[in-house]
Amino acid sequence: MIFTTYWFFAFTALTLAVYWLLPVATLRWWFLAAACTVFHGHFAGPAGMAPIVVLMVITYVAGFSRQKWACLAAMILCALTLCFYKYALFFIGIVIEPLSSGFAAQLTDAAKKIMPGAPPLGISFFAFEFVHYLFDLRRGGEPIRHPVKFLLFSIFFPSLVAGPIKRYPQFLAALETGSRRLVAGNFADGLRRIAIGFAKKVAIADNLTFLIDHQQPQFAALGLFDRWVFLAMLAFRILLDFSGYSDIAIGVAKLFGVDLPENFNWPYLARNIQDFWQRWHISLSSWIRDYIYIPLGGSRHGPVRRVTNGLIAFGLCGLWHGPAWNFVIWGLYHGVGLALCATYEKIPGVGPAISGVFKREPTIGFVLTQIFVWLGWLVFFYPVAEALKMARLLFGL
Amino acid sequence: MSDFTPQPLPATSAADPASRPFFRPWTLLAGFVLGLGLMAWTGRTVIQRDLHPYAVRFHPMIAPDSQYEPTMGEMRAFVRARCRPDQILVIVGGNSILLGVGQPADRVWTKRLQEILGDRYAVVNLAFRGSSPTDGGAFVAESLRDEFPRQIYIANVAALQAADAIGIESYRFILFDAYYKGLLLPWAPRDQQFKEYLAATDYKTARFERRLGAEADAVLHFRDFWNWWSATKFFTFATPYQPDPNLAYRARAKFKDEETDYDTLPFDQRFTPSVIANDTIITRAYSANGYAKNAQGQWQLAEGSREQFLRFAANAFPDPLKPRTLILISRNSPYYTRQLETDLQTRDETAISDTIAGWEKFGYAALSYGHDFAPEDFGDRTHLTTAGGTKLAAATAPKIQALATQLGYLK
Amino acid sequence: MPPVLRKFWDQIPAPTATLLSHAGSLVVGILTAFVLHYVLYRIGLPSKPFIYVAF
Repeated sequence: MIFTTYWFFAFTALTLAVYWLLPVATLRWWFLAAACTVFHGHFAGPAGMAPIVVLMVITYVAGFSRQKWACLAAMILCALTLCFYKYALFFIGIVIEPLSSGFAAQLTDAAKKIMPGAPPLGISFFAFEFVHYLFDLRRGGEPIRHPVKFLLFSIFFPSLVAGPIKRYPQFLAALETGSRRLVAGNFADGLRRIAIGFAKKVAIADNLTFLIDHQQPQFAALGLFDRWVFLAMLAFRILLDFSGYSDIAIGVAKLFGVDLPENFNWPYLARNIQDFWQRWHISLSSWIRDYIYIPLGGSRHGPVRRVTNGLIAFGLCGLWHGPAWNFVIWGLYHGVGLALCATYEKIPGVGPAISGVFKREPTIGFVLTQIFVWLGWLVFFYPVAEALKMARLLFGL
Repeated sequence: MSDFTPQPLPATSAADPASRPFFRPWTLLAGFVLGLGLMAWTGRTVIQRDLHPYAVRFHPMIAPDSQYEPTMGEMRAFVRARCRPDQILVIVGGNSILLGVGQPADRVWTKRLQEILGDRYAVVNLAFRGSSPTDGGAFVAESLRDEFPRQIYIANVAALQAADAIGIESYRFILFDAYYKGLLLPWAPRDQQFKEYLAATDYKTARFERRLGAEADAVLHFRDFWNWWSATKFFTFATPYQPDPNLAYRARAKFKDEETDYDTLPFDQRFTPSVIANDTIITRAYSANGYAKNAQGQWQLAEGSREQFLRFAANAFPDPLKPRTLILISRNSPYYTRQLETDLQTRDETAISDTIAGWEKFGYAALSYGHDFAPEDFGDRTHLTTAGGTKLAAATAPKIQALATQLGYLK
Repeated sequence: MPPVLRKFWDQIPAPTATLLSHAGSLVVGILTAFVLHYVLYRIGLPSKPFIYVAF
């Protein structure tokens, strides 16, 4: 984890000092862009930087041209790059392998030869931010003409590895405003936020990991109550870990005067699945909504299309988390949950009755939502068969 | 599925203008600076106490085995608490053999050594498992050279074993700690080795990271503070070494020294067929490297190997510290060596003699032990039982006394 | 700040509120230092932090 290195601390402290010592905002942008390049180079290395730089240049030029076809081509390239680096082996495994295992093996070998050991650092975030930029330009947005600002949007170091996924109009506005002058409040808020993030991650989530790893092998032997405690630990571990990471990113950006979008908003207080996805990994869920679900037609073409679009969007959302079936199933699981959540009221007779109960007793909706979400984490973290077995055990079956 | 309710992404600037803010930024920042200063000062202060008053050595629960990395400050306090200024300080470094693996805390060989040497000396065990002679204990002794000028440092090696001046990787955190806190003597060969170590192409980033950590720690004393906390309050994170969640967070100073007692472990459990097979191979290779027979049929060390060994010996310790350093040459158990052909036994003896001569050439004291030990004195191939530890203490004490006399410590 | 606390906070007389906000800020600043000091210790240890998924 990049945030848990001395290099990160030293880099942030040094960059921050120079940044605020510079007399004008323009100089600060130039300096910050240079520093972000150093940061990216340090953690990604030349092999990890090269594909990102290529994508960045193509995205900038395509955006600058304002040609719709160029933006579309660049978007496709971003998506293909992401698929190549992150999903090529997975796709070979599911598409080619069943047809010809020999050919699949050859393709796998060939892919491994040209691919680096690990996907370029932050490739998922770069691809998503570039696609958002190009998509919005096609819808009439103004391109970022200033190359330094575009560079900053692309590789702003606090959000480089694990988001939040930025939107360029908000980011540029925040950069313009925040970098004008040093505000003690930003600094204090940033530090506080960083500390909260680290406390969540290092002090709590990491210790939950130990307990989870300790109890998981003996899950079947645990009592019913302890099994649910285990599930709660699993749920809070991922929340605290990931929201902690977002807190650190947001806090560090704040030190530079930049507001990043919030990523979490008390997701375990959600009263339904729809509410959950407006509180959990907000920058991803809103990206999926704006650039997959709505372009597919959203809810505009009747209930069947609506449900299908939702399943596609959430299947891809799951896949985004990693090239493995359990992530896809986790995404589809939430897609089904959202479909139910959005349509149950229309079921003749039963629907309005259930809806009435939820309205009278919101706690029931809250409990059901959390059970649904928490059970989903089993599929997220464990192989499907294992997750199903654990789910059965949770209900004493 | 419903569309998500369209909403602008919320940003972090969520101040409510209608209401007065709770936080005062400048006060908070002042608190932050004050807090860091307080933590650093506290770390620096509390580490001067002995965190392990009941420990006789750094057993696994207060050693890197269980992700507890003792700091220089902590080990220096450990020594100070066990040695009066009027005593001759005997610091025992080296590996698990000198740590006393196989001997329970109340019968560890350094206790016996203390009994033999008497109150004029204070024996402090700073050995660690797998450590080289130039690791932890060596740096602690060096750092206390002015505070305890009458000191003897003991460590062990196998025949012709190289001892890098910067120790080995597992314990290099101690070197980083000592080096960046300015506790070591300038010693050009070591400084050069450390420089090359830091600049090694494949590890440059990782080692720079460690350097940054050590430099920050020299100012902020976070390792000192949090080791004090971990030893006296509660350990803050769980490690696989202590898989019981009920014990994982227990203050490390509360753990007892529970090193294995070889006297209570049946022979069959210590000498299983696979252990015997493996240790036989190791024993046969004890002096294999670099030796060949000359024209007279005697074992002779190849010139290249000799030069390499002598270079290591010359550079291992700073010149002013060499005369007070006693290197013990460890042998294998007679259970194995008695099975060797006479020729191999001769080769081992030649290697041991060459090793002693090599260390002595540069002004160190050197002593081999174990030639008159019985198989029962060893719990395994190298580690000693209580009886073996007693014999080691008996063999080492006269050498220490002679060294103390020679160095003028008894005047 | 949650609305309930906000309401309560707004009702406290100005001098007391000023004192409280300075004291609270000082304490939070110290706590922030405490956490970051701990993080500096933790990241130097060989135990690797949990990362839930490699993006």
